[in-house]
Amino acid sequence: MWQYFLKRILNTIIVLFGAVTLTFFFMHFTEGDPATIIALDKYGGQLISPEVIDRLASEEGLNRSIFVQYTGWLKLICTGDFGHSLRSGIPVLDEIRLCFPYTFALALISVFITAIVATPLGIYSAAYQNRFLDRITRFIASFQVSIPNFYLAIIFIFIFSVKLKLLPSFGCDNPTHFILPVMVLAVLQTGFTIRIVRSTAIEILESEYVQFAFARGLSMNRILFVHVLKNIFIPVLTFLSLQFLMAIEGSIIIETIFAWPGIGKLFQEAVFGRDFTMIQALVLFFAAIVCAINLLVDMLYIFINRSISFIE
Amino acid sequence: MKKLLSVKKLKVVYDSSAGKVHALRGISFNVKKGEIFGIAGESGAGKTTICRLLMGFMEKNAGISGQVDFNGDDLLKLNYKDLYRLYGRKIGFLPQSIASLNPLLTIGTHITETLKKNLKIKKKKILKKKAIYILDALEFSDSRQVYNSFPYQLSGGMNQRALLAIAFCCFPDLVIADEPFTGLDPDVQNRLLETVRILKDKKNISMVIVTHDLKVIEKICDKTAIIYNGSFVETGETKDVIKTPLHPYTQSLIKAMPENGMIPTWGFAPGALYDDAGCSFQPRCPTGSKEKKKHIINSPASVGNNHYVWCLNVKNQESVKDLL
Ligand SMILES: Nc1ncnc2c1ncn2[C@@H]1O[C@H](COP(=O)(O)OP(=O)(O)O)[C@@H](O)[C@H]1O
Ligand code: SF4
Ligand SMILES: [Mg+2]
Repeated sequence: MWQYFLKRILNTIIVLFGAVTLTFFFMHFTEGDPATIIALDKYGGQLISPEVIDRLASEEGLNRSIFVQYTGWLKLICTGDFGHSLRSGIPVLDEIRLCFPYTFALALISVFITAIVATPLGIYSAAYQNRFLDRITRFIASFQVSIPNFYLAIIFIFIFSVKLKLLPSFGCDNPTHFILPVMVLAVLQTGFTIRIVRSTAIEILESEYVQFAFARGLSMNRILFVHVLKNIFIPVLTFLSLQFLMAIEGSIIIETIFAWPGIGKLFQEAVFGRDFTMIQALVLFFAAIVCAINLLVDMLYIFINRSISFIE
Repeated sequence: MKKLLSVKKLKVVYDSSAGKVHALRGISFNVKKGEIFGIAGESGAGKTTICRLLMGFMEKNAGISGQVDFNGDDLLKLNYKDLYRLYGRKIGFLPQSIASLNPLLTIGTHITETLKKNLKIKKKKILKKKAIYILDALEFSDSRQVYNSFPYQLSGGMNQRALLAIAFCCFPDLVIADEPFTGLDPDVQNRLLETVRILKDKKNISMVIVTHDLKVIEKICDKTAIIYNGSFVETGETKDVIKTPLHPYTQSLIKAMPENGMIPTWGFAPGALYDDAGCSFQPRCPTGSKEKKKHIINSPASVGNNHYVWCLNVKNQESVKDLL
């Protein structure tokens, strides 16, 4: 078992290394001279002499060869130093650390709500196939899959903030600010999750152990919420972790729309501001989150279902 | 002895894309209290269909006629609610494989949830005590440990024994078993069969056991019916049917047993789609296949001691009384 985890952790490191390298070189072959950008940022719209740009470039080490810059950056990363934001001058890690909790909270709350709503609905849809509830959830799911998240966000803002004036649509000052973005994320996730829960539950309902449970006279609720629920836990958990990742990835759009101070917004600003160090750090950060969650889910599996096989 | 289960002229026809599937072509039998009734036949003969009907599971595409009288109720006419009330409490089910154990529940949970539902016991302590009692009765060396074990923590034989504990924990009047204990090594099988025998004697439980394994029939069934292509071909006391088989199909089954040289019967069963008056064994029958004329059986021959044979070559030795 420990060997398995060691292998997984090694894999993770290789993946992260790949991500670092790729972003580094991609960034350097895209347009936009970072030194000029810093200069513009520092001195505003004034005329900037080439000397100033050169000075800034050498200060930031931007005029060395690509390979030297690359190894230098690798070394720094290994010591935990991701550099300073080219725009604000604050260490990028500090900025990420400040923003990430907002994104994390949004993703976690929405996935949690999704799980609570979708699991019972999915199980009931499976138990009573093609009945009313099943038809309704199927309709909602098909509807949700075809709506892009920014569109839904705008509709929600229009209804709840503009028309009804019930909820704030901007920023994050108090808990009511959570409601709209969480709602958008949860609505987008539930329809699909219900269908996943349903199809998994149908498979389990046809299993021999559920048939035996019926033959023993157990009640429908006992069968659905003990026998079936326990066994859909792992597949549904996998799916939810995927939804969680998608919520974090999708944060770039949602956070921009809701002016949410998370890493999605940070990323968007970094991209538009050509803040190379920040972009590099964020890409690495996203990659690390994906790896970490995969690893965590794997560990959870083993914790929950110790009979899982380690042979690959 | 009182009749507990009485099946009369049970016919099942499945509607399928291939045509009408005659799974059961009018079978009748009685099971008395404390008796084990065995039904043996090859795969496709209709054995699982019998079990499913006795358990009240009816396929949507099945046309059913006949009667299944259990303790005064016709199971085929009961509504779902009343039927459900019988499961577990009055009619139990012993499944074939240990895939019938929920991998994420302990053996103890399987037993206590069954007891709780069917015997309306609420107190956790009493439930556990009863569960341990039944595990003890099944001769587990360490009942407490088995109680807390998940299926994957036990050996195959122990899981089979656990299945017995779960199926018998409420001591139902009738236990239906579809191919129990198949594919186990003979030693394990023998010990499990012995346990079943003891359990049912202690609590006077009736059983219907359906199997293709004549060993199981020989070891514990009081009465036996041989089923071929949806019809019974021979019924009677197990010792009569096994020791003095009269129907050519029964004889071929016995020749096919390992200790008798495993001589296979020539040919295949015509299958459930076959719809023709007359003996469906005729194409494979050593005597019947030589004749052009169809062998049509109107009533079984009785050869005494409730031993009946559906074959024209077997001469009546008693006037056939009303079988039912
Ligand atoms: N739901 C069904 N629909 C159509 N045909 C079925 C169905 N269930 C069983 N059959 C057919 O009925 C016949 C008897 O099946 P079964 O009772 O399972 O036999 P056994 O258990 O002896 O192998 C087989 O030919 C099988 O293919
Ligand atoms: S009835 Fe005729 S064909 Fe059928 S088993 Fe007897 S002898 Fe053979
Ligand atoms: Mg079968």
